[in-house]
Amino acid sequence: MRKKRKNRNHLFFIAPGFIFYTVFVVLPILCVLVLGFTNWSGMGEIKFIGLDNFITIFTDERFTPTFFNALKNNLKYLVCVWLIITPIQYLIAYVLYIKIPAHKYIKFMVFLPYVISTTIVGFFATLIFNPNIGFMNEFLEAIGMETGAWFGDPDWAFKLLILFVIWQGSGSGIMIFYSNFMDISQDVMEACRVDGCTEWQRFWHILLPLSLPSCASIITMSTIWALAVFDLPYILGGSNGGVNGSLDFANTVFYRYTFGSGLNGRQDYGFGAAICLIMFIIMLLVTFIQNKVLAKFEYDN
Amino acid sequence: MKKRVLAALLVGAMVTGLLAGCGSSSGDEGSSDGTSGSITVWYHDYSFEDSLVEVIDAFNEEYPDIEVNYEIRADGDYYSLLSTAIQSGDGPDLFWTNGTATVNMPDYVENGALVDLTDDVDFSLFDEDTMALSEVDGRYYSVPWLTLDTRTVYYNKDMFEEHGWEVPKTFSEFEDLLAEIKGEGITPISMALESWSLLFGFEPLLAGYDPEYSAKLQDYTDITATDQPVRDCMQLMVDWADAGYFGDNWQGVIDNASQILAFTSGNAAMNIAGSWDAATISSNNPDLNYGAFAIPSEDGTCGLVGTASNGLSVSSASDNVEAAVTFANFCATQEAQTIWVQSQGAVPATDTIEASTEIAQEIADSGQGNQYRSWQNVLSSYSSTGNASTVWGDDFTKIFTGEMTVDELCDEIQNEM
Repeated sequence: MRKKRKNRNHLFFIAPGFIFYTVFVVLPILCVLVLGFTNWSGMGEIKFIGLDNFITIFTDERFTPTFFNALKNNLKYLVCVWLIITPIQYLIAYVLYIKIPAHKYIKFMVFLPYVISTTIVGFFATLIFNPNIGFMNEFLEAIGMETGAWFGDPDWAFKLLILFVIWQGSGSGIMIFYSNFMDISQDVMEACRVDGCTEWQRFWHILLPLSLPSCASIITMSTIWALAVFDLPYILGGSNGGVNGSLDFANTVFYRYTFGSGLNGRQDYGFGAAICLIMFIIMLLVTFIQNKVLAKFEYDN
Repeated sequence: MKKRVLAALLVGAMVTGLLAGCGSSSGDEGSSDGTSGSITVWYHDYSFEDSLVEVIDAFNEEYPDIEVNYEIRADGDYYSLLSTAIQSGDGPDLFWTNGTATVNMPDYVENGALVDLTDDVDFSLFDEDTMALSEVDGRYYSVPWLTLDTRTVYYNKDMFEEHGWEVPKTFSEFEDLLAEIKGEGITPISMALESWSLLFGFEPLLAGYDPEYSAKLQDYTDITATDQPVRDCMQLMVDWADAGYFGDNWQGVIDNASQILAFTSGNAAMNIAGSWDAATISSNNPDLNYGAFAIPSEDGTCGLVGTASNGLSVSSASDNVEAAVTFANFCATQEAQTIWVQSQGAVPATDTIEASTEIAQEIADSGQGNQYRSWQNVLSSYSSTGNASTVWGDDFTKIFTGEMTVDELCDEIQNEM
């Protein structure tokens, strides 16, 4: 009698993905963990220097203020995501859902910038706001208003960045909210119409509670994105982080200090890895706290 | 059971196949007898492609058996690409570095990544100042190009003629000119709020402001990098910025490209920038009638700030060092240097090569034969901590945005010298 063995064929299907993921994602992450304790410049011997990188991050008189200014910008950006960008996305999804006039056209136009690459968005920003060749100053001058330095003005740079992020990036969130609204059972909608509730009541008591799960996922995703933002600030403010560091984020600092003009002008993969580890811990903390809060968003029934 | 083995084999085959695809492709680099085979050259910017092709063509007339391939790696992270390629043993046989102007080449030397060319290449064309670009611990590791990377004041000839402005002969005439242009509602100088752009404005200004001090930078004796002339000159530049001589909203201009655009579009009367920008200016606006002058000192003497530029180094990981060195040696010949300088439209750093464009000749002539060392080069060459140039690069813009005073910046730099 043959012994009945458990069917493990599924392992063969998992294997390729598992191996690739391990080799190209898990191993590099572990490498970063190790590199954070070295001063490897990308070439030559890898020397372990213990906690020196981390001590530098928190005590160096040049680096520490830069890093914390960047972190502050990241948090500022995060608050903007929570209080400005996500509510705007939600609102637009809602007006699309109640089918305002020309909603199909608006939906198309709102989503369009999302497929434009960030580099091109940066180029648009230059075309509009560059003091030399930009359209904005010419326009303001023509109507007799004061011109500005825009991205060269620390009071404006961050606000304009948020504006461009909303313009470019809100499409995806709007689509998720919108499809969540569409997903709400028509029975519920009909029931509330029969009961004669107002538009406001329908929004407050039905749409909002039933769309909380998508809020949770969008907030989680944009939080991670907010802490890892790089491309747009880099294009708009340059690698030095813009005027007065107003467009300096943790990732632009990381880029600067890893690949070039860093602490001593050399590439320093070890130091870069240490910055990554610190950012990883911060992200972990923020996401952890946020998940605790957002857990309430999941509906029970 | 058979099926399972088959599945395992298939998976294994798939994985190894894919991995092999991702891995390094170690091609055969030809035979090693030195006079044949193929070598690969890396350069960092497309503006050098045509010149490189011309030099390779000339090389192949003499050495038809050596095939020279080139790759332009203008992706922004040139050095990290290069380091990764060298590290993986897959790097080019010859590659460009910035020589001793940045820490990259000395770093490669320290890690044994470069071939010592001192005895294998004939460096007789180059003078001592030029060879400083290539020298680490008394040995040479690269072949420079005799293009003078200098800074100059480009001016819009038509605009000058229209308003009756004259090319200034003394420093105070230059200052008066700026005020006059500003008075007519035109931006006198196009500038960008970016360390290097500002530097290429500051250095020629310093040369005109205090030629005596500038001349002393050559040997860097009896002076420090942040003596009073440097501080005064920086302050003067900040004052000019505040007076609107760089335009009213110039702080929003953060890159060289839009700095050039303001000049080529006729919004600014002048542009103080690198001599290598002439090609971009001409291609931006082929109809622009422009010239160049050097900022004169009070007694009328002029000079050019800058050095020759660095070229190729030979990788010690090359499979065909002999062919690579042969190519490096060819680059050091008068023939190759002439091709390079003229196809670049560059300012020649030597009398033996003629400039190929009018503007390059004009820049060369404007120096009256005087040449000054770059102030930034002093920072990178004589910093005791090695960080002076980095501090400057990080903070130079801050004196223009009011985050720092000139004295604070200079003291900070001096601490690293």
